[in-house]
Amino acid sequence: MIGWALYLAYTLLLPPLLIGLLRKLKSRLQGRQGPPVWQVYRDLAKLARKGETISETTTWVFAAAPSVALGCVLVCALSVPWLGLPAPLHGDVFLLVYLLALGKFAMSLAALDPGTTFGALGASREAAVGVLAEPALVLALAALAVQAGSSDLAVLFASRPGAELGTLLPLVGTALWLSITAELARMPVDDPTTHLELTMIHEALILENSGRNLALVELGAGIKLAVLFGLLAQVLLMGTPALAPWAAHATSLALIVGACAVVAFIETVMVRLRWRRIPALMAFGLTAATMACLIVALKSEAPSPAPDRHAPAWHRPSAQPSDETTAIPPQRSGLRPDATLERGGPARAVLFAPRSGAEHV
Amino acid sequence: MTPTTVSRADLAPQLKALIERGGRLALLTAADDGQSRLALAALVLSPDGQAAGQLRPALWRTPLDDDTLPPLTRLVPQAHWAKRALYDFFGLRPADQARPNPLLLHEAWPAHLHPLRPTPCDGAAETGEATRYRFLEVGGEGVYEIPVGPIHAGIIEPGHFRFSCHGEVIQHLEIRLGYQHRGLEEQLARTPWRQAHHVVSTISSDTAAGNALAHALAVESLLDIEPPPAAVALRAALLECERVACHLGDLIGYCADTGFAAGATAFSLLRPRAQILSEWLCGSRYQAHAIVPGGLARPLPGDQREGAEHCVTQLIDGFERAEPLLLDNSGALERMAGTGVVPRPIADEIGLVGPAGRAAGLDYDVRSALSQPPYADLGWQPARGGDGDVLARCTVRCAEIRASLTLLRRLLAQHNPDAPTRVDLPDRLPADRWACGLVEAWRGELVHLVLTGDQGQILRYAVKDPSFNNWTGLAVAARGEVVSDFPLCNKSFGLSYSGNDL
Repeated sequence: MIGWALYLAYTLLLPPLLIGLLRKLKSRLQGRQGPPVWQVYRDLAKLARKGETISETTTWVFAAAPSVALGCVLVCALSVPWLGLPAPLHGDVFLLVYLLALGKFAMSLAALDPGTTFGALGASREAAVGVLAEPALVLALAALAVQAGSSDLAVLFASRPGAELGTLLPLVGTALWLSITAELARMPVDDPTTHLELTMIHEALILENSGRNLALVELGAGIKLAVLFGLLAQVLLMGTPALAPWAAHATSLALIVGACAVVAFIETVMVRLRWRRIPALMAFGLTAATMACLIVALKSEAPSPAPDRHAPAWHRPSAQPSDETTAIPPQRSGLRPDATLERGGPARAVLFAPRSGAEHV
Repeated sequence: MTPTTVSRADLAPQLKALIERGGRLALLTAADDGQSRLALAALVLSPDGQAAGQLRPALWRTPLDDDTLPPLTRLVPQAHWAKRALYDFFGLRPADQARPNPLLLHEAWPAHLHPLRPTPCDGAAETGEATRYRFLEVGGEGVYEIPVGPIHAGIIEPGHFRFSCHGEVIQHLEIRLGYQHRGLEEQLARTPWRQAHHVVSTISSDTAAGNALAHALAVESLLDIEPPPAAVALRAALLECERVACHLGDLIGYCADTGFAAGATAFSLLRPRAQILSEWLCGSRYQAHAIVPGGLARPLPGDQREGAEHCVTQLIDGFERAEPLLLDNSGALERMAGTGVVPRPIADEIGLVGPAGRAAGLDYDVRSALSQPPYADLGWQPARGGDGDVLARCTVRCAEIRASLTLLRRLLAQHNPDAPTRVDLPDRLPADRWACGLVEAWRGELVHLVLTGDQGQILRYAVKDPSFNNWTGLAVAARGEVVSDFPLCNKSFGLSYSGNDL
């Protein structure tokens, strides 16, 4: 009961503060005063009071999508132990990934619904980035799940990797950071502050939303930010000896705020990536995740030649060790970007393109 | 100088030959020739025999027997937009095109309105169809259109961009302007010429100094008077100040459009400094009403000169520190290099001007090509570019900021606060004369052309903003780029809508 109250309170009250903090940090880093930290609460309250302008061509999909998306992130927030305390619901790696995908799917449908070009453009871009970012998230979490012997997030985060900790955590951390920033539409993949409708990814998706609908979308985006950074914090906490609940909770909160500070810093000093180079960045994350999987696989194989009952079927050690390496190409080809990224060219050319030249088709 | 008469059939071949010799078509328009017939008036810059790269202005007149234009654009592609504007404003239709696409007058204007025409159109010339704009349709599977504007997400001027895309790749971009057409040329011809400099500064308010200077040069050349040397130097200082301020504004844009917040902040801190410099020089942060025919509206006292010199020093130091943030940043270079390329042959063909032209490897700069005072004595070289991409346009702008700041320092050091800065003007304009004012404004070649009638009244006042040449360059640069790089290409050209629409 306390868990429910705690998680609900944090889920609904913390995200606006985090976004306000992020904006404030960004402003201060850029030499500006910036809006007050509490501004996001006021903005949400204002949007909730305002009327909506809805295009006549929309259907119920447009009206329902923000609620569906918010519902998805709420279930995530209540099932992922992102605060360092046991979550009220039972969370699972695959549940998390599919909930995120479902929310995005709902928002993409809503963007297509009014029939405007920018909505469709945003939906296509968001889907392309999602296709590129998701495998790294899945594989990174899968590596941890195999290592812990369970895809249950509570069991997963309670486990402590042994000797291979020093290699596993940096790889998983890199993969998670890259795919989480892409998922959150942050730099260097997307620029949340741009006013240029032609370069927007996530912002183009929600151009048609207004009033209460927009408030739901903004709140959902904030919760997603808090939960995903909280997830990352739990992964980093796996590198420490088991902490007392209050210590784990405090460290999680500190790490979430720290992640916001890192985002603010990156968004101040970095240039947004060229659209055609996003696949290369995501491939970097995917490679890190794949290597993490490989390390876990080799380790679980080494001590016991007998099949490991707890490992998923696709991961049982095989007779020929060379199969382990041949298992990688299919995973890569699953990452094939859609035709909007590179007309006609094979996915490999995008993933491993040289710094310049080859991508100018 | 008197206009040379060129026959209708010779116009296009002669223009082509002139451009091949290194000359330029600066402005092409039409005017009433006094017998209620229209004549084409082309301001050309022909190469000077003695010195390489030097140009001399000359006016060509081509009397027209009817309302058809001689075929032009096949031989002289850079006359493309001028030809379309001639149809809009004078009802002159190209002989080889049945129904021309209007350039600046939209469907919302009355049908068959040709506002600058002295007499209504010949009945035979009008087919009775209202002008209707047709966008080029790109066919093929998977090709879709993105209409952008005329109202944009940011607070910018109105213009419509129609992208035909295949996936993220732009196959074709069509730019439609004219939303700000307000009849300025007509108004300039009607305004009493002594008050016209107030109207001139509204042509494009970010080019207030450039337009005021072009107007002053045109009127002074018409009246055959010379402004005092101190005024010539201070006008150049104002022009360079405007260049610095506007180029800094564009550098903020480069940073903002690549999402580079730290760079945008660094240049945003410098830009107001350039505006304060302008305030020291002329009392206005936007060079408004400072340059007038005959000299300057106000002299520059010694204490203001000191304030201005201090500002220039601050700008030089600040720019020295801010420039590497953008040009030594691998992320920014990666975004800019190879993006939005206008190859040199195409730049030549469409007649790109200003920083965009120099970035593509063209040498043309009005200040040096016409050996304008006071630049000729200042030991100065125009900036050169290279590859014609966004990066080249950015480096040319940076080089121009540095050159302009050096020029400003020299001009202010030479300034004598006691020297006269204005001469008196006669009461009337001379009859049956023409005169032009050419200025290298911050966007490039800016032309004002004045023709007077037999009473000394202004028959035609024509303005050509540099954007009129360069919008086509933007359409070329966008081709083959991904959609999300277009704002960066657009910013790298930094074109004016109101100066183009007039």
